[in-house]
Amino acid sequence: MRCNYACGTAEHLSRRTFLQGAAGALGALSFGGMTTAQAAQQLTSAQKRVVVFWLSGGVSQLETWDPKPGTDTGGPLQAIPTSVPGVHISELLPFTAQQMHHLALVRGINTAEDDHGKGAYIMLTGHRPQPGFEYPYIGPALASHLMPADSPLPGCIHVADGASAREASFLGPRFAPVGLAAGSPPNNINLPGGLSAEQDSRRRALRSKLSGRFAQGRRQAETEAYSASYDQAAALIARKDIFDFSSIPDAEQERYGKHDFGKQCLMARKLIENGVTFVKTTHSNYDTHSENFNFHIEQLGEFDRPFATFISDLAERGLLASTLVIVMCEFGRTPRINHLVGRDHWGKAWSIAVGGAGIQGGAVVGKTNDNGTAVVDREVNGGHLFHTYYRAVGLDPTKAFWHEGRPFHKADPKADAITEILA
Amino acid sequence: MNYQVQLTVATGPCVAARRRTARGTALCLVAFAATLAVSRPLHSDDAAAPQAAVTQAAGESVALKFARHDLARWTEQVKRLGETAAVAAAALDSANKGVADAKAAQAVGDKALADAASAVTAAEQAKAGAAKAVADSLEVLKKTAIEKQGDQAALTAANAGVDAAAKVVEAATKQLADAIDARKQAESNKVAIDKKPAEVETAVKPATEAKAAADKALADVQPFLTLSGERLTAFEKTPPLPDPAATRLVQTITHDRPLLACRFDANGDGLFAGAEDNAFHRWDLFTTSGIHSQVHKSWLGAMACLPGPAGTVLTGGHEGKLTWWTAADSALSAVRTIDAHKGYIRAVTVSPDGTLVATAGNDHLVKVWSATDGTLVKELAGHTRHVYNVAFHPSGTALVSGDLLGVIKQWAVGPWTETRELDGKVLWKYDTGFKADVGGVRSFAFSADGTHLAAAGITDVSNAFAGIGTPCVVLFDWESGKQLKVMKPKDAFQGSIYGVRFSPAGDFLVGAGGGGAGGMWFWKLDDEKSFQAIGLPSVAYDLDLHPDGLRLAVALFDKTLRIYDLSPKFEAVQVSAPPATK
Amino acid sequence: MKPIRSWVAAGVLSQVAILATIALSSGLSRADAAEPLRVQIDRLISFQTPGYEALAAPVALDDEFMRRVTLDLIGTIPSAADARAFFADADPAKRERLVDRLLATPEYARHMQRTFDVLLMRRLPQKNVPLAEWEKFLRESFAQNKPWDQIVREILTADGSDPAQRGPARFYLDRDGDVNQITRDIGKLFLGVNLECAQCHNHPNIDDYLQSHFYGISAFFVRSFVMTDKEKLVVFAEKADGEATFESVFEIRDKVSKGPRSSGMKLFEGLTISEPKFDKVDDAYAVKPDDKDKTLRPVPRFSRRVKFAEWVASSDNRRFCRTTANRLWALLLGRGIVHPVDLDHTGNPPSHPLLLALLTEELAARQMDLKSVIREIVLSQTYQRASRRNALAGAPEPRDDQFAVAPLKSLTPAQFAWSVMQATGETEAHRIALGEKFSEETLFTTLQGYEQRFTQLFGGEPGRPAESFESTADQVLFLANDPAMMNFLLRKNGNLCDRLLKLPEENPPAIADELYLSTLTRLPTAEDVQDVQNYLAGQTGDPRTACMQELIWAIVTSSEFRFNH
Repeated sequence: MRCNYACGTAEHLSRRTFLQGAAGALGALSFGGMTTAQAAQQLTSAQKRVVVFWLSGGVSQLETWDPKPGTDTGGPLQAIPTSVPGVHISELLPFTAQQMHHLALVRGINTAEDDHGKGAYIMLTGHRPQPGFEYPYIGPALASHLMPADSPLPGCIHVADGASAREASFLGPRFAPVGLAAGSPPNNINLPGGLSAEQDSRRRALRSKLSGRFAQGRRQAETEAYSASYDQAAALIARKDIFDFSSIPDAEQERYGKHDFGKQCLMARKLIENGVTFVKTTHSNYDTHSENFNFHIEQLGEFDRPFATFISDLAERGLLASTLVIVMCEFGRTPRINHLVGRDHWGKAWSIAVGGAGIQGGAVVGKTNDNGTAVVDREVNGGHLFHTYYRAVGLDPTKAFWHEGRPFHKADPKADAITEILA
Repeated sequence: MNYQVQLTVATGPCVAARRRTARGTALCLVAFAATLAVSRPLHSDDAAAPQAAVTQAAGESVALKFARHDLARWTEQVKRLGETAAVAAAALDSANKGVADAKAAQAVGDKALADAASAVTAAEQAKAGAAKAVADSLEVLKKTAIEKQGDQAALTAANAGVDAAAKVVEAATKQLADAIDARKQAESNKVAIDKKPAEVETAVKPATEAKAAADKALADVQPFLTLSGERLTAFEKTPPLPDPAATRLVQTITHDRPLLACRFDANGDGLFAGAEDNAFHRWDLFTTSGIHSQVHKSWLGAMACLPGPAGTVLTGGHEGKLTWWTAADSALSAVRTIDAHKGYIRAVTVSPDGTLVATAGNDHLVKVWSATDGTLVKELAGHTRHVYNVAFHPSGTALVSGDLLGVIKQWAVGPWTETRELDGKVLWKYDTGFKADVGGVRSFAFSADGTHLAAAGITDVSNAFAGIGTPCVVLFDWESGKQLKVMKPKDAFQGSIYGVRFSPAGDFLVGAGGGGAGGMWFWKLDDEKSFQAIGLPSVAYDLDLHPDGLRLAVALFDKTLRIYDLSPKFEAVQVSAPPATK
Repeated sequence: MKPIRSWVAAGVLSQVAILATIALSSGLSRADAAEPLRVQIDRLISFQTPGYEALAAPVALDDEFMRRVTLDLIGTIPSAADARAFFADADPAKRERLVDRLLATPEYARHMQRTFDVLLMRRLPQKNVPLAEWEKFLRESFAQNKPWDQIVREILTADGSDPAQRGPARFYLDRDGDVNQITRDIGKLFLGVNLECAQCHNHPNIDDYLQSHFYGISAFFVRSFVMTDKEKLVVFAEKADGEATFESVFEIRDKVSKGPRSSGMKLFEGLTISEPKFDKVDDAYAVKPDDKDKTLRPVPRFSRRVKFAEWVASSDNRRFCRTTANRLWALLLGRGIVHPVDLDHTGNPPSHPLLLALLTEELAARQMDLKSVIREIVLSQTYQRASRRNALAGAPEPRDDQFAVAPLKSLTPAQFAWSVMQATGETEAHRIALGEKFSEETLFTTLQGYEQRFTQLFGGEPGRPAESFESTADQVLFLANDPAMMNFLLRKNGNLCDRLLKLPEENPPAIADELYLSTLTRLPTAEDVQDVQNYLAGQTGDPRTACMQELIWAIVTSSEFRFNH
């Protein structure tokens, strides 16, 4: 659903205030010449950040967090011990296994949804889809609370994933995600030769003024999105240093792997280090209706090391304690192995991993039966997960968003937080 | 585990006459017990074994030798099942006799009880008589004491009379007690005897069923004996050549998990198989018994038999272990297990002279091992992705390996240098939507004369998520290394080929695989489109050719191994399979 | 039987009859034969929404109309000179004259070529047929105003064997003859149905779309294949045998499948096509395939593909007319009457069923003459509504599907590129430089590289063109900082910067007039003039040039420029 601009609620007033504030902050950055080091210093532990690793298509819980080796559904792969005694995960995640003390596993998810779009909606909004209305997605929703008011950077950045303004819903374009291509700085991040920052600022101000005048009396969803992307671009230009991969030693890039996903993870780390509130990075594709194991070996083989490196780097830098990390997807995969040695869609009994801010590393909650076909202990759904995310970053999930004078639950009131994994 | 074997006898390609016995498991167990008793090594000097037959009757065609061997095995099987049936019949007779004996014993017991009861009655009467005598004698004593006061002699006589009567009572009382004891004993005997008939009766039903099952097993096998006799007669008249148009299902082995791999043993008696249950299996095609051994920790998808009489089979598991086995009828013994690869072993193959073993793995490596002691001969690096398959050229001088990307490398045996690369990229696609590589060399086959190499898999993938594409075989000219053809099914079919073989004469190719359904296709070497297609009930994950060159085995997802006969149709007595029972 | 099935079976005509009855009984007067289509359109639009007049924006002024219709018909904005002339014209029929003038230009044909290229080919990369040949085919077809059914028939029957007719064969050949892609795209493009989900199983959410529908269509293409012929041309050939069989993955999963089946050549629940039977396969060929000669193109006596083309691309096929009418409407009004345009089914009824029926019938009656229908639509008041409503506070907001206010349509990549070049005077500078060699063709050839840059950035991924408006940081960074954009702003002989700098410094209103007419096809407001004056105040020499460039930049990157409103 689009933002309705006629409502004049507090949310909207604050957005307009932001638009002016952002211009000021940009100016300060441009003229004041704040260094990266200073910016990093400003990134206090009080500011919570969130990173979502989205395993598009639906990763198999049996080949990741809840292996069932030796059963009729277990497949050919083994389970391996992790840095947490007694917790075993799939052999396809040897590097992640060494970071298990930073991660908690939720093994009893039942979202009861086997459709990609609806499953993704549940996992990214915490609510079941309902016609005619869209809740804000996790990035815009959390960024709207966690993003510092004077942040010069976009609140949400999607690395290598489509970034749709729709995800902000009624929160408006300020929190709409910005998309970046895999591992590369945006093109044209530098001002053209001969154009000073002052001139650039001047021409933008005029552009903005003209656009505002045009928008009056017209439908504004598109024009606001268009204008917001200029603000985002300006913010990116002001902080282009964070995309400078040339300064990263080759050895460090090697640690993450030189493939796209390795670059994405490194970029996610840099963005987090530089104060971006929410980063989502996507790894494709896990929709393995055929050859489930071959594809999981390939895909998780690519995922494991950069993800584990990301976790250990954040931990070493002291940032993990204030950064919530979520590894999730739209649903799990059927325990039954089909005739194409594939697994199909399965929202009934599956797992995700979370770690970092507010999360008790090494905790495991929920249990499935011996061959993984049903949850037998501590069943949770998208609502429980959103309560948990909000609590993990120090927010109250029971307070509602207000839109058009109506409250909208941040997290399903019928669910509550999974306190077993909260620190 | 529950194993079942179905035999199908059919004279035409499409007549799939099947049977299933309700007591299939029991039958298997009986047959299994019989096998245990025989415990014959697979490759013995037994004159019935074709290995021996080859040396004894040089000049006879291989197919004829196997037909002869089949007849001998079916004869043996009929004999053994006949013996089993006789044993079962004897057991039933014995059970029936036991019931009759018990019933006779019951009559005897009844009489003994009656006798004891009448003895008690007699003793009671005797005791009553004696008691009356005592009373009478007491009366006499009383009368004597009153009437004959002072007559000491009369008094003494009367007293003696009383004493004598009392002694008689004492004896009668004891006799009665004895009689009651005897009756109790007879009663208790009767209870036991009465139970007996019911007890022995229970043995009759299983014995009857066992006999029926044994009779049925015998009757079921009889047609195969007949058929194998006719098959031999036909082959003796005209040496058979495989005829794809005649392809018919002849045997179905049912397992409890999807099958992944299959290989006939060298004497054509058994079928080795790998399944999703991690176990290594062998089914005897004649006794229908299966033997199973669990050594691998993961799925078993790669296997190869060493040539010659040693009876050695190699298996590669998805956990990366390579195991040497000796296989006898009664047991599969793991001789040696080594950590061969990191990740899946995807293929195992043996050099034509049987001295070398080559394996292909997910660690991007091809490894060559000594077949005799399992030592590493050479590690061949160069593939950049999972190596899916490996095969020796029939000359023994070259080895080929193919990977996920359809890259086929040729290595010189001995120096182990990479000598050539063949282009099998048509078997691969990078799917940009899925962001993954799809395809790979799923099977290799060389023609017997070494002039052609076939590599099989999937091409024209339109949907990587669901494995939608066209099954295909890429045919190469070995001398030039040029791709000659990309062979596809004549009719639209979606899926992959997982097993490919050349006919012994090299005049056609067969591939098996599937997608939504399973299929088996035959191509002439000159054609791109198949000339014959056989539908399979499920995806075939492996294909092997029987050493007789006339039969094919496929390992299916639907938990069955199926054996198809390609021998030409011949005049035969119509054998109607018994109706299936539930 | 579900409603749409009977509807399809009976043909759309019966539905039109029903609707006509409704229209009569509801007091809507029967259309006068002489009454122009545009008037009927306006009546049906208004009929569908009670209180429409109060809800609707007024008819747009000349400036807004001219910019919109020029963008919609020739894919760029008008020049300042043309705008001045149009505004000054007192002829009440001047809008009609403008439309006719635009429809007669070579730019119209090229704009239609681009529009239909994206629809038909989804920006798929060039593979077997040079893009230029395909584009030439489309452009010439639109230049001649070939009936649309004829264009589609030419595309669907082309096999590429005639070197002079390679263009239309691109539809098949650059899809590599993939039967699934062809089936899916034909459904979407010509029949208004997205059968993508029905490839593997009946559509899970749409009752009307069955797997047998997908395979009923693919049966026409399953015998066709791509091959290289004797002339080394990649061509689309056809065999005389082979069937399309299918099996639902749901049924396989649930183990209730009875094995693959075939629906034959069938169009939804309606027409089933039969084919002549031949005793021998060989008899079925005009040119028999030869196993020994792989370059010999077999030719069947009965071509399923040609049969399909004849059936589908015909004004007798009301589903085709309806889909075409709906797509034309969506192109011009920003939204289909059935919306989305490829989800025409019972559960997604048209917003204006009478209007869709009318346009369908008109299109058929006019022998699929797209130009004449486009002309009527753009001359309707519905099309000409202003994009801004001067509604009272608290008045109800019209919905998009009421067509009461002109939508903001984001410029397509090509419209954006050519409008930027028109506005900045890049085209004018090149027109002058080309001198006698100037023509639409030569100008296009000179500047098409820029169009390609815009298409790469704003056009979505190849095979998946952008559908709804999204603005991304990389696009904006291009507009803000790319050397190509900066180049447009530099002073060149006859371009906008040059013209503005030549105007007297002391007359900012004249500068503002030229600036606004050149970029936004309107005269500046007093506020606009003040902005220009302020921006240039006190600037001379190089700084003045820089300011002039910044002014132009600010306008061409503004929302007013980005949208066709």
